Amino acid sequence: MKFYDLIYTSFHGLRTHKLRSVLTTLGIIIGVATVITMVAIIEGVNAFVYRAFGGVGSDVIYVQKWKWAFFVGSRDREWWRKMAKREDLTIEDARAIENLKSISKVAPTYPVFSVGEVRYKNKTLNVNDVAGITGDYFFVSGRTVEEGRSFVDADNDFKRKVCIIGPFVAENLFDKENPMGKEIIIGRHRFTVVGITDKKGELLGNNLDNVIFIPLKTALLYFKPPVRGWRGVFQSLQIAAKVEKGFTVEQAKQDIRKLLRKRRNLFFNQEDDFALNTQEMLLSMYKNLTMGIFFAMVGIASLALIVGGIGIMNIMLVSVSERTKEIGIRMAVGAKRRDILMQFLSEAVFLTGVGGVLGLFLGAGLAKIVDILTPLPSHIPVWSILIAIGFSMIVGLFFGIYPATKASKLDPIEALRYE
Amino acid sequence: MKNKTILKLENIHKVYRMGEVEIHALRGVNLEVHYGDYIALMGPSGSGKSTLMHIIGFLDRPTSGRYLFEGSEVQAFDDESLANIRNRKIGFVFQFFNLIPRINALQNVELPLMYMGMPAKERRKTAYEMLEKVGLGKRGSHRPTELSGGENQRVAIARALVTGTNLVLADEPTGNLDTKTGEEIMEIFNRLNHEGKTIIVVTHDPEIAKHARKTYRMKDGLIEESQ
Ligand SMILES: Nc1ncnc2c1ncn2[C@@H]1O[C@H](COP(=O)(O)OP(=O)(O)O)[C@@H](O)[C@H]1O
Ligand SMILES: [Mg+2]
Repeated sequence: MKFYDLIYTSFHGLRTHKLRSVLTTLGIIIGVATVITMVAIIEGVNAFVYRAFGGVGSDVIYVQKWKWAFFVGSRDREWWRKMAKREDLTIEDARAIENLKSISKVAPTYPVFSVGEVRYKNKTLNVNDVAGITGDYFFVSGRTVEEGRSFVDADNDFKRKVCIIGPFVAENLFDKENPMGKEIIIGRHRFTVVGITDKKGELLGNNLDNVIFIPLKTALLYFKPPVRGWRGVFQSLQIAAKVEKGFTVEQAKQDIRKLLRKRRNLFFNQEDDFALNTQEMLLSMYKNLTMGIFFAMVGIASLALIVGGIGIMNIMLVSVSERTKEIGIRMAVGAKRRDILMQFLSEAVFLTGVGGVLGLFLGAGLAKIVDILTPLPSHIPVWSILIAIGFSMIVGLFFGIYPATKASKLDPIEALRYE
Repeated sequence: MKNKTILKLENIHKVYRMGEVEIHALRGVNLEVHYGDYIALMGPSGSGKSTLMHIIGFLDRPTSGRYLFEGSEVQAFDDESLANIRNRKIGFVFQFFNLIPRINALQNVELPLMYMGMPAKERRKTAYEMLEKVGLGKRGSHRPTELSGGENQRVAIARALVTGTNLVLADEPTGNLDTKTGEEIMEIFNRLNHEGKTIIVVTHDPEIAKHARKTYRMKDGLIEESQ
């Protein structure tokens, strides 16, 4: 029996029961659709997150009070108390770190949370982020000043009230006016706009262009951290340190650690009272997170495929018993046991393969809907298509073996006599 | 070819076991068939005619006895060889046609050729020619349900012969047809026998048996020669 005869025969067999065939593959369709949708979303978010994390810079170490984490659920009272007790980093710390051989540049940053609305004339805007920085920030962070100027040492030394605004602030506070040289009110203070940054867009619903930068020392002077609450912990100086070329991030990390422990007179048995955060850490946390989702997804998909496979086996058994007479006829005119086996096996594989393709379309549709309705982007990689269809066909093969074997073992004369 | 033996049965027994009960369907049948023979097998219902035909046609195996087909011991054949013999050497024609209802007449005739491994195009041509030979060249696209009993039996005969088989086994081929149609079918068998095919036909009807050149009677699982 030739291969195309096999395909034709099994296709013909299924066409007789169109509705039943489709219903049977529902499990497969759902399984494959789940996988495709989830993979599409994860892949889309991946591409997006990697791009966003790329902005963090793979050669930058963030010296902060706390360690980065995706899940902040474990931050209990104890954690807050511990963090609140930690000493703030200082501009002197930053300078000392910059002097390390393995560090090329540092950018101390002081986030200000107590600002609320900023104002220009009669217009107000709620700004996401106000941060005190030095000019070096633009060498370390991957952000640039697009218009106007960066901060110079004098801005910091004289605690000038100047600011660099994000493009979103420029558009929404100034309309068509040129913001350069204009005064805006931040907190209770008047700041002169001297620059506008580049556009960064959105990250998971967070507008990265709705930001204002002011000189670090100005920020430390006018926006003191509150004594109580979470701001007391978060509103503290942090230092972004760029690793010198020729040094590894790990080396630089060790150097900073040694330096800070010494500056803070920590005994060898005391733990660090600061944290060194890196992009790589962020990525590995993200990978762990998506790994979890991935395995959960594999679990769901396997379950759906197994349920689907059992459905296929069931319907194939029905099909074999319905067509017992046909099997007898085929054997009487010369079909070998192998021919019968292959016919039912390829019917099962064909069935699940079609289910896989339908699931693929359904999954792609769902991913598209998620893409449109939510901020989550989606992207369907080719490998997921191949795996989805491949796996559904394997399911067909596996669960088709029993019914097909049963069919091929029939006794010709018994089968012929069957009514 | 004449007088050369195509098959020989020696002391063939067939016992069906149904729980405690044993049914002796064949009780030591001896039979020799030559190439070109035209044999009618008669006998009352339950005398073992169908059982014998199934054994001759490799659809069933005897419980004991010796079966020689074209000089070879059938006992030794495995399932695959049996399938091959059914495919190329034997054409079965049943009382109830046994066509696959969901495919058309031409496809039914193509079936043995497909299992023979013949490519689709050649197969279609061969099957079509065979249908023409039984007078159904124009009805190939019809399904069995759209054809009359006589037409279905012609399709079945075309299918039985399409791989170039010599031996045709027909178990009551006219049993389900009216007298006139039955006669037409028998005319086809006569013609085939003239062309050199070996034919064994089971029938109750003496009129039908007259077409054959030899008649065997079966009774209680045994053959008694009458002519
Ligand atoms: N599969 C079977 N199981 C049990 N008994 C059978 C089977 N096939 C035939 N028989 C019995 O064997 C005997 C011969 O049957 P059969 O060959 O069909 O006779 P015929 O074709 O001459 O009418 C009958 O008694 C019948 O009941
Ligand atoms: Mg009978």
